[in-house]
Amino acid sequence: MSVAVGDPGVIARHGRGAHRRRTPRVLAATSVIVAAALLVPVVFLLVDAGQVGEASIARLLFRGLTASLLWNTVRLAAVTTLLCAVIGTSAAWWIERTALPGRRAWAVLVILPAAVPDFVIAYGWLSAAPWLTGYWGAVLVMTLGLYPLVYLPVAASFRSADPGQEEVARSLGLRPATVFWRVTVRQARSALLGGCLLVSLALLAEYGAFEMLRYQTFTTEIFTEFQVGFNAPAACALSLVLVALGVIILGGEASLPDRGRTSRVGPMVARAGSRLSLGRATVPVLVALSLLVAMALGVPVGMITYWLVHGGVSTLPATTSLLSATLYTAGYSAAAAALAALLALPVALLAVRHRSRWSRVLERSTLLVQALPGVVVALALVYLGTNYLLPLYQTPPMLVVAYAVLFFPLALIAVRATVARAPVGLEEIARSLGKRPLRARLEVTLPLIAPGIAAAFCLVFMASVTELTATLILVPTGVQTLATQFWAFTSNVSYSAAAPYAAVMIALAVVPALLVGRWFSRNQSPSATLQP
Amino acid sequence: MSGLCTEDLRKAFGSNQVLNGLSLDVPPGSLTAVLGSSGSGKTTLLRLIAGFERADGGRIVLGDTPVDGPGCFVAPERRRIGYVPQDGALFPHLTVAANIGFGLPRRSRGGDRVTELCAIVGLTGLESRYPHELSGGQQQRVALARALAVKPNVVLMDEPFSSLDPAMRASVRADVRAILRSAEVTSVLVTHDQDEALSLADHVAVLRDGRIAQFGRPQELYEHPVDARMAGFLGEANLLPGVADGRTAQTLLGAVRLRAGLAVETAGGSVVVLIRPEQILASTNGGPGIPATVVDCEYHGHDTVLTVRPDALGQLPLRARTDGLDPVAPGTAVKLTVRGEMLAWIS
Repeated sequence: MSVAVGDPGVIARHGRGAHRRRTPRVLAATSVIVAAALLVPVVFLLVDAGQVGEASIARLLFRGLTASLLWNTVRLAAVTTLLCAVIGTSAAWWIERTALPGRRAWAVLVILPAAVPDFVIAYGWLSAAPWLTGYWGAVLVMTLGLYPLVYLPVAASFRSADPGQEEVARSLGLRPATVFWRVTVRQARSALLGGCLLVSLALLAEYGAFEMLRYQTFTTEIFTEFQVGFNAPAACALSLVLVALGVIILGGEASLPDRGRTSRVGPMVARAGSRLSLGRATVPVLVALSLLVAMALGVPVGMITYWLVHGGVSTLPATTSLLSATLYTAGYSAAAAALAALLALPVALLAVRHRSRWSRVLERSTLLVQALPGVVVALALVYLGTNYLLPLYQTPPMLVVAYAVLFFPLALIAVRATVARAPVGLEEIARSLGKRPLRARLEVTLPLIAPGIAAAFCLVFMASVTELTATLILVPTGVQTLATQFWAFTSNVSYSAAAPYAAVMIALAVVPALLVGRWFSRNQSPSATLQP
Repeated sequence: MSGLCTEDLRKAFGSNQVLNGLSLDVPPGSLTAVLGSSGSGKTTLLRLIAGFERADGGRIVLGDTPVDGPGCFVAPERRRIGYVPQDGALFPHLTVAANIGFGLPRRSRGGDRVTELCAIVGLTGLESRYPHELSGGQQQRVALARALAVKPNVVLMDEPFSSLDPAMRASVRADVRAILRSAEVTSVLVTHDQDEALSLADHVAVLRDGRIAQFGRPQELYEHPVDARMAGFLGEANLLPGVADGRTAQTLLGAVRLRAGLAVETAGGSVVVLIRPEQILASTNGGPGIPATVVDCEYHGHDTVLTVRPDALGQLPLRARTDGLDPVAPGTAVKLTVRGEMLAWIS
């Protein structure tokens, strides 16, 4: 699960942006090291490919299988992303901009599916409707699992949008529906695009759900080649295509002109826009939202509950194995979350406070990791481990590093948003009052960006708990995490034995999901920005 | 109490030379306003003095201590300079009391000094509020109290009143001036508002083209601008071409008396004459004077400023002030007479 925010947009202007500060060497050096570490998987993927050789890669790629995988991946990504965009934007608009009854409850309910791993949604649907496999099954399950990636940023953008623009549009004679298309959606444009980007990248990376639904994509094929066929060259060749697809999507989004920026004249006033009355549409909208929540949350949670109740005592796992899996999962995820948040800090400080061409390049290069699916990062680390770092291979540190690399962009986005709101001018004031540079940073900037660091921790923790693909490949010898144990049971169609693991996984992910949702709603509203 | 002095200060951002040999001498204990249009480098000057930026050339001396110059740079935390930025920049995560006590040693943060400062800036009772619970004027006062708490050598204020609404601005201005007076601290205020500079400061320095173009008491600046451009910058000015002969100049408004001791008195020839709006009297009751027609009337209550166009062909409109008892309708015929002695420069 991951979350995108559009450009924070509102950068407080203490000390005026025109004043360029010298880039501190320590900060620059740390950021370069972080970026280099993040790009290690890409480097080793290329080294690996180099050893396989051009000729054999060409032979492995130019076959019918590649074309059918490409077709499967693209048609799934196109339809699912579109559905997620429609569902996420509509839900966000109903909940944030209309007088919908019970909005607060809906706001929580619609983001909860983010805490349910996609392979658990697939598990829920398959145990309810075993015939639901293949393309349409994949579209259904992935749409239900991924629409929160669009909902979260778009809802945040609707919440912070200037209601004055809509009012002006109305006063110029536009009807509400026209205002929605010509003003509201435009305001949320960059948030919507960012959400769609994340959805398509997540579709490229997904393994568990597709394996269960028996839908073949690049990721499932890479996994099979590696795990079942022990065919490392084929896995490597297919990984190259997968990374290329990711880079194309990332590059496509980045090349779109950023017209989502807002400009404001005069002081920003926290003012809630008036909510549109839904009128006769209220009941249909309520039905639609109920249906969405029932399908995305009700089916998986209901099926888990069903298996827990009806599974019988004999199939329930020993408490000890459930407990140990929980502890391992929580421990690895917490370590990865702390590591990712720590690594994101220097990059965020550099990117926000020392804007220059090369700091932007550095930031972009760390975000390139988004295009790396878990399976690719895991395989690169396997290659690194087996060839150069054998003592680390299949040890906890390697898994933790894999999580931290995979989810670094989430941490960066969260930390960056708060760094942008902690103006450097405050640190300068602290220094003029006699504080040394480090003290000033600790006493002023750290408390201000602490919520962002906490949000980064929550996001990475949540994502790591529900990660399956890289975990299956890198899990330390003799250890089972919640995800791998769940996977082992479902692979044997022991649905009832798997249920407790899914339940604990969701429980571990739900708390940070709610915290992050709260953080989003507070951090994106105008009143939370530093204003006199 | 120490003064502040900059010598030949230079600072560029990329190819943009912001300060170009700026020298300024701020007398100890005075309130000096640095007046400049936006983008003239006012904020850069303050940031250099505070030590947030380093000068490319020149020196800054605080009292007797050089703080910036060739081979010398004192870090901002060692300069004892209070800085009050435009928007106050209060620490949003701290209460009013914690903001004011921020620079004090730990043990005295909860003590009398904070209470005393709250009383000085008139915020007693609001100590436990957070910045977002304060009005703009209150935030400005907290920022000032925070700067004064550490007993600074110099207080720098960057357009401190520009974010306040006009009604509040006057009262906050007066309060700030009184507080600075009683604190007996040297202070520098930058502003683009000439009214503010003239009414508030002991001395005004006009920043132009990266240098101080003129420095003096407000009255000196208003009455003796160094050139015609300065005259237009400080207050409203009618700048009329004329031909000077001794202490008289022939202009569109007839012969006007020039002030004694001007350079044009001996040189003569073609000049630019400064006539302030209050030196032109527009009379609606006929009588002698240059015939003119009212183009526009700005009624301010306490006075009225007219835009009038002399009836002779090809004349530029002039600004004239009346006593403000009644607004005058556009189109009204008036007679213009000038009074007092004028400044003039060779053109």
